[in-house]
Amino acid sequence: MNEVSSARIFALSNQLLVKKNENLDLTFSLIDRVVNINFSDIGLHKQYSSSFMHHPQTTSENCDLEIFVIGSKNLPINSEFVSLVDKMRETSKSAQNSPIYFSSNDQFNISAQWNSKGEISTIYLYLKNTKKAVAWINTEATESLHDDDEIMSIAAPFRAILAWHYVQNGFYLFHASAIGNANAGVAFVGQSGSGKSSTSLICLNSNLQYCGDDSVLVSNQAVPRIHSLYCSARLNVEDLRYYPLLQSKVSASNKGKECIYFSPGLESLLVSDIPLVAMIIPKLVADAKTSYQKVSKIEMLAALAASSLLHVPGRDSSAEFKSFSEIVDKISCYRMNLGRDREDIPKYVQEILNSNI
Amino acid sequence: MENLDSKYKLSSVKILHETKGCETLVINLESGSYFILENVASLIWQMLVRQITLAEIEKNISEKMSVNEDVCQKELKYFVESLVSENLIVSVQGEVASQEISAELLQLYTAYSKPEVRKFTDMEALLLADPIHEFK
Repeated sequence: MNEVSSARIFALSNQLLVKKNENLDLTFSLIDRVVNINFSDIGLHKQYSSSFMHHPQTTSENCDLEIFVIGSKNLPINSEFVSLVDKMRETSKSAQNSPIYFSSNDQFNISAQWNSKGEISTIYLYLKNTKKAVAWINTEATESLHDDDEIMSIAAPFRAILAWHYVQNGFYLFHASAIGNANAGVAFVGQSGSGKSSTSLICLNSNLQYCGDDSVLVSNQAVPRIHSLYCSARLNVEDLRYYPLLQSKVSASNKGKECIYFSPGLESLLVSDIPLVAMIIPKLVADAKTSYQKVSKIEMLAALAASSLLHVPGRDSSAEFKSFSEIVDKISCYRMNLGRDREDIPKYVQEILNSNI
Repeated sequence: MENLDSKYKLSSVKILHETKGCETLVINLESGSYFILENVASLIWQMLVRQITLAEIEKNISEKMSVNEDVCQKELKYFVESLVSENLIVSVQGEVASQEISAELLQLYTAYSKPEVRKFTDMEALLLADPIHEFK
């Protein structure tokens, strides 16, 4: 991307920082910071606000972050802004065939995603100085998709924007799920498909509460704390028998992967932030019994950093890596081999928590 | 492979590394691969990034641990070649000052074991789906 395109995108993005509809605001407090999201149409509001409904709602005065969500009905795919971003990938030698493009300069971070049909589906742009962001969504393109990417974009909306903003303010985005209570909690870390979500959801059958699935924010304190970002969870409908408390959230006719929301209705299962005392690398195994054992700090750092640093582009990976290392030094590290006896998982997690309080 | 007077530094690709106890994690952010180096491999890595020559590394190890010098030298060279082929380190040209390695750090390592590179590629798919392209 050349400087001319960069300057033009910057100019156009500033023109987009206008509320299309004053009535379609969602304003909430996330770790004592006020986030305002303005949606250009009711369909986007309905689809992308549910993941944030567990955060305390507040007024939009003194916002720390404003996100302007614009659908392709209001800003068509052939508009200058979208076309310029679409061309960015074409002119990039290294990103021509990639489904995600990322660029950054002193003024903004931008990432864009293309679907399997080659249509540009989302653009996230974060203006570093004004703390304002644009999220453009091709509603026609995403409506035609039914895959993991779509479920992720709905379950964890605007993740890159939130990560860029909160990392700039001293927090870290972990690619992890987390459960616990006011006294202690654990994070499950590892690559997608390793069992992070299912392990945390099955722990709801005990007295443990849910803090997040796939993406959580972390503050590096004397005892690190995990902060809930989304109240959504992705689950396989076939596994619903393991999560009796969640059955009311899924229609019996549904199959495959589903995104569910804890709010409204299941707020009692949620915890907004937890002290992080242990991290667990889940691993699906063919054994009958689930077991766990300690692993080295380096093995945990590998699982956490390799996955989390690659999860959202555009972060200062060196600085975050150092902080990840400090956090790992403060907690206990385990691997949990997930056997077929899933019912025992909460018992083992509770044992880990009890031994680390 | 250069010679025993060769020194090395991190390659120009984005490399993150951290050592805890006798283990070192090295992440290549451009490929998504990561590597765990244990025991003597970790010690050698720490000396390599301090620009200590291969001759000095071999001397440090063979004096401290009961290992045949020829075996040590052969395995050291093979290990360093592996790190170079993974594009984690490159040889340094010209005069470069070495940093000393502390006696406390050396004391952590007592027994010799063949230095090996444990490579993990399970995160490469994540990187391929999420490439980083920066412009200034």
